[in-house]
Order: sequence, then C-alpha cells, then structure tokens
Amino acid sequence: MTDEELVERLVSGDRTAVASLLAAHEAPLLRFSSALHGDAALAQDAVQEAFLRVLREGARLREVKALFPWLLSVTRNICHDLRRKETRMERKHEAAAVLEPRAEVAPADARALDGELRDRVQAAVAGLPEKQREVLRLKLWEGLTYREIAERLEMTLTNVSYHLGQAVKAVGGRLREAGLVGDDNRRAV
Amino acid sequence: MTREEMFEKLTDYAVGELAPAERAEIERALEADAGLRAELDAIRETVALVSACSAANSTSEAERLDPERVDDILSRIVTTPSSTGHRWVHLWTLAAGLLVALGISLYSNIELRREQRLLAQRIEAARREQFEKTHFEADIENKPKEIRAKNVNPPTDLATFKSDLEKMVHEMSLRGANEREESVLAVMGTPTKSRKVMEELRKLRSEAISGKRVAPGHELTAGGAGFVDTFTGDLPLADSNTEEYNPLVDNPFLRPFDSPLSTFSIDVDTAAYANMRRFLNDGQLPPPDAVRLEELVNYFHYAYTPPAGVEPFSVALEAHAAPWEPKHQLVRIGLQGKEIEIKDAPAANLVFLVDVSGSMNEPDKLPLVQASLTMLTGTLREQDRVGMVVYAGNAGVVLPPTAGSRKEEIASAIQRLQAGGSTNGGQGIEMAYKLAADNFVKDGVNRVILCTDGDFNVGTTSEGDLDRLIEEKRKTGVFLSVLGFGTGNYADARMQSLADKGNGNASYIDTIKEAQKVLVEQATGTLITIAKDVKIQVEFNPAKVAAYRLIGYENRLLAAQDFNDDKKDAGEIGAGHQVTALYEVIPAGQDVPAAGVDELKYQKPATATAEGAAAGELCTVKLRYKAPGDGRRRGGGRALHGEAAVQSSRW
Repeated sequence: MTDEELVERLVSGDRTAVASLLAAHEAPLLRFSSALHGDAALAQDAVQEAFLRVLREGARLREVKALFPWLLSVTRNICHDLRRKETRMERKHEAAAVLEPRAEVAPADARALDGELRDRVQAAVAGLPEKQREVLRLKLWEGLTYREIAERLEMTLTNVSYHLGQAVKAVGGRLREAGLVGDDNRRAV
Repeated sequence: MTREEMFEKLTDYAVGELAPAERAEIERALEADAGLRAELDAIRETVALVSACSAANSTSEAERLDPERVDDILSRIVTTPSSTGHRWVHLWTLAAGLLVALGISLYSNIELRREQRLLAQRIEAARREQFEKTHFEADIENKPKEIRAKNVNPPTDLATFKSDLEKMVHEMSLRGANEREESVLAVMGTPTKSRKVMEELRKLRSEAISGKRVAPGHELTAGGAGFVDTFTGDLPLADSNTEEYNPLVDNPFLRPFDSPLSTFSIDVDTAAYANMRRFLNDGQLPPPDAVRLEELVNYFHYAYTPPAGVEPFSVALEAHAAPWEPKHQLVRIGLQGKEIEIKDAPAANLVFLVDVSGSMNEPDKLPLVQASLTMLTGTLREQDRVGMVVYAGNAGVVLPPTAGSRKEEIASAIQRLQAGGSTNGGQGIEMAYKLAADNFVKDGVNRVILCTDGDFNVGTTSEGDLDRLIEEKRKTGVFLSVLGFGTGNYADARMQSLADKGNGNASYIDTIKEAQKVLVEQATGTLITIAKDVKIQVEFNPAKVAAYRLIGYENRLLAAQDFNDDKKDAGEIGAGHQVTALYEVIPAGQDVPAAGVDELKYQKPATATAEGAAAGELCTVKLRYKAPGDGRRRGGGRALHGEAAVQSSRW
C-alpha cells in the first residue's frame, strides 16, 4: 500500500494505518535523526514526536504531496528543537523546561516528491568514484565500523576516513545544488 | 590538532568514529568556533539525508522505535469530531479485514507478530477512545497547548468545564480533602492522565482547603488568560494551619569595634529545606519563621576537600563579592566531616520510637514512616541491633532488640504499625531510652530515632521535663535523632529543640526520596557523630571590615564567652556531614547601614592593632569541639586573608 493510500485511510478514520506507516518509515527516520543528532535516545524521541505530529495533523495530511520528505522535514525540525533545548538546559542547569511552541512546517512546505528525493540522493551517491561510494555505502547504509570497512576493502583506517570525508563532501555539494540540503532550503529537505 | 585538521576530522566525528580524546578536543573547539559548527551541521545534514535514503532494504532491530514509544503513539490517538453511530462496527470490520490481509501478506514472522501486537493495542485504544468520547467531549489534553500557542481566550467548553469544577470544589469545601478530589474525578468520568487538568485540580483543591476561594466563577489566575502555565499572582502565604515555628529575626550588621567576635553553634539540620519545599509544592509561601537560611544552605552538597589525618573535619575559607551587593564580600566557612564507610562504622544500637497517635493516620505520615524505617533497616548489618517502641495513649515495646540481619522480622514489625489514640510522647521516650540503655553498645552508635509529627498533646511530662530527660540521657551516651513527618500540625520548633537537646539531628521527611537521602545515602551522617559541641568563633579585623552579619543561625548564636565554656552545649557533626556558614562583610571605608553608638566618656575608642592593620586579614576563624567518646576538647584557628579571596564561589 502506498503512503497516499495509507494517509487516506488514516484521515477517513482508520487508525490502523498508523501502524503501517510506522513500520514503513521508522527505520529511515531513526537513521536520519541519529545522524543529525549523534544520539540514539534523542533520535527515538524525535521519531516518536514526529509520529505524534502525524496524528495531530489529521485531515491536513491530505495536502502533503509526499509523506516521506514531509516526515523528514518534521523530524529535522524536532531534532533542532531538541538540540536547542538540550543546550539551553545545560546552560541553565534547569530541571524542567517547557517545550516552546515550535514554528512547525506546514505540510505543503515539503516540496520534494518521495521518489524524486530518494532517486536524487541515490544518484548523487552513484556518481561518486568507486572507493568513495563503497566506503559511504558500507558506513551509512550498512552501518559497519571503520575497522570492518578497512578489513573488507583492504585499506588503512586513515584511508577509510579520507574517502568517507571526500564522499560526504561531494554528495553534500550535489544535494546542495539540487536544493535538498543547506540553510536556504531548511524547509524543503 | 590545527583548525584544518579539525575540519578534516568532522566527518569522523559526525559518524562517531573518533577516539575520546580527539572527540573532546573537537567538542571544545566547536563551542568557540562558529565556522566549525556550521561545517559540522552541513556534514550532519548530508549524512542524515543519505542515511535515510538508503538503497538497502534491510533494517535491524536497532532501527525500530522502542515498543513503549509505539504504545504511546497508539494510546494518544485522539478523537476527531465526527459522527460516531456505526463507528464501532466500522473499526471492528477494518480490524478483522486487516487480520485477514495480514495472514496472506508477505510480512516476515517478526513483522506479523509486530502487526498483531500493534493491532491488539490499537483495538484497546479504540475502546478507550470510545469511552473517553462519551464522557469527555473535548480533548482536554491538547487544548492548553493550542491556547498557549495562539494566545486567545479559552473556548467555551473549556471555560464551562472550569467553572463547573470551581463550583463543585466550592460546594464541597466542607468535606474532607481526599473525598473531594475523588468526587471531582468521578464527575469527569475517568481519572485523566492530563497533567494540565490535574494541576488545575490540585490548585483549586489547595485553594479551597486554605479558604482562599471565596465564590465560584472567579478568575483562576491574576492574568485572566485562562489555562496558563505560570502562576502570575502572588502565592498565598500559609496562614490557616496550626504548625509551630520559633520566631526568627535576621541577624543585624555589627561593627567589629563594638562586637569583634561572632560566636555560634554549628547546625547540620536540613529539615527547613524539605519543609519549605512542601509549602511551595502546595502553592503556598512558607511562614517566614519556617525559613532557616542555614538549613537551606546546608541542604546542598559542596565539593569541600575531605579532612586529612586524624582530624574529624576540614575547614575551607573563601571570600567572594556578594551576589546581591557586589561591594560587599561574602565569606564562606565550610566544614567537611570525615567520611566513614558503613562497613567500617561501629555497631549500632538503634531504637525506633514511633508516634502512632491518631494524628499520624495520614498518607504522608505513618505509611511514610514505615517506608522510611524499612529503608533504614536495609542498610543494617548483623552486628547492629534494632528495637521499636510505639506510643499513643500508652506506650509499648513492639520489637525487642533484633539483629540487623533479621530484616524480615524487623520489616514485619514495622508493617504491623497502626495509628489511633492520643499522644503520650513522654512515656514513649522514657521507654525507648530504657531499651537503648539496656542494650548499650560501648564505643558504638546508641541512638533513639523518633518518628513523629511532633504533636505531644497528652502526658504528664511538661516541655521542660522532656528536655531535661533528653539532656540527661545524652550524658549517658544515648543520642536522639528526630524525623519529622506530615503537615497541618507539624511542630517544627519542638522537633528542633528535642534534637538539639539530644545531640542529634532533625530531618523533615516529606517524600520517599527525602527518606532515601537522609536514611540511606547519608545514613552514617545521621547515625554516627564524629565531633560534639562544635562551636565556631570568628574574629573580624576592624582594619579591613567595617561591619559584618551572620546569615542564618539566628537561633544558634552563642555569647562570646560560651566558646571556651565546655559545659555549653552546641551542635554535633556526623560522618560525611557538611556545615556551611556565610557572613556578609562590608569592607572598611564603606557605608554601614547599622547605627553606631555615641563616643564613650570613660574609655578611648578602640583602634585596630598594628598587627591587624599589617596582616591584611579579613577575619580569623576558630573552632572548638569535643571528640564524641572522651569529651576532651580540641580547637584550632585559621585566618582568612582579604587579598587571598578566591573567585570560585558560585551561585
């Protein structure tokens, strides 16, 4: 079942659709938020909050052209809020801080289409030189450690680090050109 | 690492592949370097997006949302306002349909179990949803958020709800407090999880109890914005209870020429802090006399250096600009008692003396006493002995001295306690002391632990007699600790005086957490005295100090000559205990708010000694104390240089 169908079922009152949406998107969202945050527990917080947001949106979800990019942008905003809150709390040693009402993305703001977003990212990765592509794939998609990658590709740790750095830089450039990352396109993912 | 190297390592940092040392170095640099931060953010964005758009289909268990979070999401599914007539059937049909669909789907077994579990939860949630919809038209939990965000008046349904509540609380103001809260919940149909609603209920309730709520329909908060997060009006001052506090008058500024010495007894009690917290949690200001500043300061832990060698405690002196008046100095005297591990502690002979009179029959009294004593029992060892005496109209031994290893026996005696009757505190104390004396452990910890709300209302023993009894027993080596419980008729003054007379400490237990702190984490401090009659005398140098005032310790002040009088009682310090005293000092040459006296006719006005002027010292601190067993006196002095004032006192 596609996201659109699930959203339609959700909006028309079938809450079981939430479970299906969850199963379809939790893994990429968790990868996304833990990479953004560098903290697995906070990543869980962010994804939980993102799905609560889905419930709150209700009928407005119909305006979302592609659910996955929208979920990414919602998750990203939540991550930024959590990080801000965290630093604020560290600074003030506060025991409890009230989560401020956040400026939420309107559903229509996530412009990229689902297929388009994944295709573009994967195309950017495919365009990398072989070594860089392999290191990036093993690290970010397979979740291997540098040491495991070094063994598998028979290179030194320094080499792994170097190729990943180059790969991220190159892909980042491509995605920025496409308006998929960067400050100017915060809301477009 | 150079800045360039850091830039190169940012990707490694973002994917968590840096050694701890490098990690720490980069984190330090990130704090100061906005350029580095921006680059890290860009890398993280790219890494995050690429990770999310994986071409691989495999997902590990680590990439699943925690089950309790899934439960939370499903349980928070809220009702959208739509017609509900055939909704039940609709849901069941869909549920059944989905089950069939699942049976033939390509889900793996794990996925299937997961979906089935989710579905079961989903159906439960649907039931709850249906129930709440019938009884609870609006989604109360979400309303306050919306109001806060949009800053508009509450919608009518919420306003009606609120005024109904107020009316109800007002009508019920003659009934008992617990009954009242239950009734409010019953009318709402179901105990709600909404924190916001519960907070409002609690506020209404405490206002009704304290008689603040005069009529239904009044605005809830001063701002008039309806349900808001912050209380904008003044907190009501607690006035309608019969709690007893000794009057306190702030210490005035004194001039060193008139009063060169400041002498006081130490005080390790922290009861005032927990007691004040209890008032604030109830939305009331504590009575001014309940706020003993030294106890508020002493409640918290400070990183003082522990004593070296045989000394029972170390002394730290520090001066810093006063946060409320930077021209003044704040002088801190910090005592740190020697830590004693519980395994190294001498054998304990404890007698729990528990007030089981009718006034203890409250949830925050006897049940909390039972929980607290059970906790304390958990820390005891085989060589320790515990007995228990209860008192109400009469007193009796309910647990003969029992080895600390027989925890179940002790615990079941504690659990059998029941409250009822009047209070004859005097008889109980005598009995407890007798039990302690009969089982006296030489060189051990011999202590009666009194658990009460302090309401000694019956008995032949007058206040003076009781004090004398406790003082007399103290000389035999049996000390007294007082644990205070409960609200309403909490006799703070009585507890303080009993503990002081008994060489013990008084703690106020308002929550199980506080019991944990006093009886488990600080057990050795509560039980083992490392120095007795600890007195502090500070001599201020008039060449450097125009005036000084001691902050707190108002009821601990001693006359200057009491310092050298070993018959004068003073405070005890327990293992690991800390004592902090603060002076506000006005440096010489500045205005002094206190009025001076006329020039004397028969004496020359005092002047600073040449030594004082030359020394550059602010003050000299002297201590006098006795070792707990032998009663020999010891003492020592230390001077604080004004110039050596350190800037590390943090607020």
